[in-house]
Amino acid sequence: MNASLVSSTFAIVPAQIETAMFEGPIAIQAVLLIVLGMLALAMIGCLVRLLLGPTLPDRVVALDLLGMFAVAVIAIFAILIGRPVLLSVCLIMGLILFLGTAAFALYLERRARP
Amino acid sequence: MNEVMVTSVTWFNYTLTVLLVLIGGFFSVLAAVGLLRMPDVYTRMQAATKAGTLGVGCMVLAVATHFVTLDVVLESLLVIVMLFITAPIASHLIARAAYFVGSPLWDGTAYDEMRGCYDADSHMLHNCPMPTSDDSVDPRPSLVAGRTSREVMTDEDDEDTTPRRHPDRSRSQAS
Repeated sequence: MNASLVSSTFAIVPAQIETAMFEGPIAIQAVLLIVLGMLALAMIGCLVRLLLGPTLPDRVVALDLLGMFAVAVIAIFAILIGRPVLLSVCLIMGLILFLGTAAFALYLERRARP
Repeated sequence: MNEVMVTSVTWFNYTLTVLLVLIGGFFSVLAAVGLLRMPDVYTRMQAATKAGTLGVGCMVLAVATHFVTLDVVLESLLVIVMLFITAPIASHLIARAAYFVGSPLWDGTAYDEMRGCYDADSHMLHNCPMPTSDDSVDPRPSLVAGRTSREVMTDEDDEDTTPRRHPDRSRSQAS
């Protein structure tokens, strides 16, 4: 393959990364990345409980907490990339999470009925 | 990118943001540890709901202290209020469904207040009778599989029935 074609193709990538870079002071970025790591650990714990939960309500609780951590990750990203529009995403996601949990609870109650 | 004019007010906001985000991350990890380590559906649920709600609320409040404009503050407060209203309702719904399905309580559970209140045939909750030490008739026939020996603790019979608070001891007694 032509070398100039390869270089011109992959020269797009650093420009895209530079436009999508994080905003704010470096110290805040470091703290936010550390907290994202902590959230990743917490989500791995939720996934473990989701996979080996003994009963179905355990899995529903784990799924609820996983969705709440997803809301937290979106809030952290709103600070990190400097776009407060993502708070709307937090709002909608929390509402859909509550609807999903309520639907699971109603389904469980209806299944318990003889 | 970093040539924003940094005043003391912005440094105060940045410090507040970092503190809130760190508190939120700490409580999120605590919620996951509680979800992993608690022995029961109900205890897992209370750990996950309380610590998780506090952690996510701190992080959304950190968004408000980072961008200090009016619309962002109002929207983050809206998210927090919505979260604090819906999370207890959701956990209450799951707890009720888990009790109806019959997911087992922890072996060290000392007192079950809803024992005898749920009619499995008509799927209704009625008024709870006062707890008695009469275990000959168990009013919850659908939920007693595997844990019929669990006692309702009253004040009269605390000499002969020791409260089984440790799960390993009760498991060794059962086996």
